[in-house]
Amino acid sequence: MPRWGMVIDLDKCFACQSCTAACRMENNTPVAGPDQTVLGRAILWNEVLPFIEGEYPLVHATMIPRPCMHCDNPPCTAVCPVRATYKNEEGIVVVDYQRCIGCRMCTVACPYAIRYFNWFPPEWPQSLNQHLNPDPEVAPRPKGVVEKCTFCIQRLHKAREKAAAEGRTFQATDYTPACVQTCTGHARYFGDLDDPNSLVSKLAHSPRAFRLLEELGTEPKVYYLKQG
Amino acid sequence: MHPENKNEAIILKPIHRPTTGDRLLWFALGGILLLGLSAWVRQYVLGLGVTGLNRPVYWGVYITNFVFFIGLAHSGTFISAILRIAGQGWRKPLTRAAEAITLFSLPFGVASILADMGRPERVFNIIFFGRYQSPILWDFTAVGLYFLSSIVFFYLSLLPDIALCRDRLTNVPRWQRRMYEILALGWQGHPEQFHRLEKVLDGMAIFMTMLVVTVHTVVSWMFGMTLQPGWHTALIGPFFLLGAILSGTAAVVIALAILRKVYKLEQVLHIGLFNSIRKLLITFTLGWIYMMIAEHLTIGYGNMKEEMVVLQDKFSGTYAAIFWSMALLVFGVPVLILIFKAKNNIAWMVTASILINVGMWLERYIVIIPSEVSPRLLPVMGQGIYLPTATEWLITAAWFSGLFLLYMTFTRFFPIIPVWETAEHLPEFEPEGLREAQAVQTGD
Amino acid sequence: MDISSLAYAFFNTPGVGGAVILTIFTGACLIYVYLTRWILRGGRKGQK
Repeated sequence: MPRWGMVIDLDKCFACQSCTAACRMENNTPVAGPDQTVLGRAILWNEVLPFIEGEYPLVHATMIPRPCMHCDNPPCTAVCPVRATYKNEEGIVVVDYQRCIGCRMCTVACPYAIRYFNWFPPEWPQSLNQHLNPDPEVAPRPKGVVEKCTFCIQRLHKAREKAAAEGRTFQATDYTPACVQTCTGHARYFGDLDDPNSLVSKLAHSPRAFRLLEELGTEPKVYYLKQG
Repeated sequence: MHPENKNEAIILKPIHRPTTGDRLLWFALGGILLLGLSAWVRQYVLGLGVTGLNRPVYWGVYITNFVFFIGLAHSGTFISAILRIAGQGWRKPLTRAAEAITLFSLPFGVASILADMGRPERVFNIIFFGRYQSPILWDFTAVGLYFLSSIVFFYLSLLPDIALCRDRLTNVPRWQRRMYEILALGWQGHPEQFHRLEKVLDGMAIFMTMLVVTVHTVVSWMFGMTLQPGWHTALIGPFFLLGAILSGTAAVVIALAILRKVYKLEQVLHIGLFNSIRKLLITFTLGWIYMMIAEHLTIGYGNMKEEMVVLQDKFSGTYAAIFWSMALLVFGVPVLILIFKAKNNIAWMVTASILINVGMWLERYIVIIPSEVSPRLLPVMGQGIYLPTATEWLITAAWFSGLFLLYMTFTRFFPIIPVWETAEHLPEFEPEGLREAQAVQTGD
Repeated sequence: MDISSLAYAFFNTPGVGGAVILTIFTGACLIYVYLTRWILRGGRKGQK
């Protein structure tokens, strides 16, 4: 079984936020609006976070696109009382929206704070409301459940179905999450970490590669290539 | 038959027709309870967004209430179970008043969780899909078993006195007599019944003591098992446990003082009892400050970045005012009052106890929120904020009202001081086999 | 029959925990009812 992972080259990312926008359009995450966002209610499965070190004029800024880390040793799935969130066989950490009871234990267990909660029923401004992704796998979630980046698992399912329909074997390169596909600077890579010939596997072993909060032992599958 | 108790009349006196004062109080407390419940219904319809909760402060006032009410519940078990095992006879007049706090605060602890859930209608998923890997299952089991056992322990301890009410209170309305008859389960007061009752209560006291330790420890492990800075510490179990016993015992003092005043129970709840509890409260506050120092010194000396952010936030940052108020309210002021002023003085005891409980509510808040506000990825996320809304305060007020309402209603229908346990002596029971064995030994 | 995978299955499989909870609560109720009846039976016509 493939072990899906992502590599993000921080030298190539210039924080255009296309990945964030593409993620919303692909996955139907609700729009919180400016007032709710100030209160910390925004749902952004992928976010680009600024890491500013030092003070002007000796400032060093890094922009870090941050999806779910899809840890191999996830602290979030361990604490779910009903196994509404779990790591599937291919290493993707998913949420079962029908089973989630909204206790939010997983949200506090995640050290990266990448999990989001539906504080209200989902809403979109008129313009976006007309352009929701019709795929039933990303149907808008109801209030009261947790949601997060799924590495666009619906695209994995579509890719497998398409390969089967076309009578060929599914290749890892058939499947790309929206953020990776959209990235303007081609900074994001995605693939099977267990395939020694894949690009992600090679990049993950690059001397520039690092992961967030590695010392915690969560074994995140999103690698970053450091700047410079 | 009922054991002779010279204070029986005094203890049974408060059981009378509800007065106008009673009804007014019921109306007021019931009103607040209803207000809170309607706030909850509104929250259920609109979503948890009506609270101040957000990312990263996913748990707030509701979880604070959960921990606080479960902590209050430890009052009863401490007084009736732990002191029973320790053979402390002076506890006898207090047991029911203390256990009533346990019995009536546990439901509101549970209600706090329901109010916090995103999909409370799916709570039974915990039964259908529950798995023990999750601290929430440990909580569910421990608190559930504790609640069930507390009800049974309370009821069994009450049984002889229900029979007393059945037999002595002839002036009460028909439905009330019927209630006593049914609830007394045919208790006759035979010596062997008393003997068996004591044995079962002894056994349950041991079990309840083990449960009490388990319950508040697993409640703390909801936090301790995560990797949040400030939460992931081995000390969190004992820390929460001691805090619970402290706030519970202080709550007992408040309850006893009110009962003593309102129901004129000076003879039964004499000052010596308060002096005994005073010594316990001093011990517990000292224990609490020991835990606080151990925890914060360890964090501070270790100087780990994510932990220090939270520590500094509590000592001198956003949460400094609440943190230092808590320290003063739980320890600083009460320990001085307890040592220098509270001996033989119930008013000072109550003051210290109220301060302790207010401080302990703040303590639960301070354990929970600052760690969430400063997550590990703080440098890229920025610090969170949390401003509880009216919905959260209304529901909190409802729970406290509910507790008072249930408690005072209970005292109007049942004796709050155990008549049989404080009797001069219980009927002697000698098992037949024992007498024969003794006869054989002495060669009769 | 490897202990660690049994343990893993016990703690992780959804529903097992629920079954354990129901067993514990039912068991506790049964024990308490039995104890209550035992207490009330005391001293009645030489019955034990």
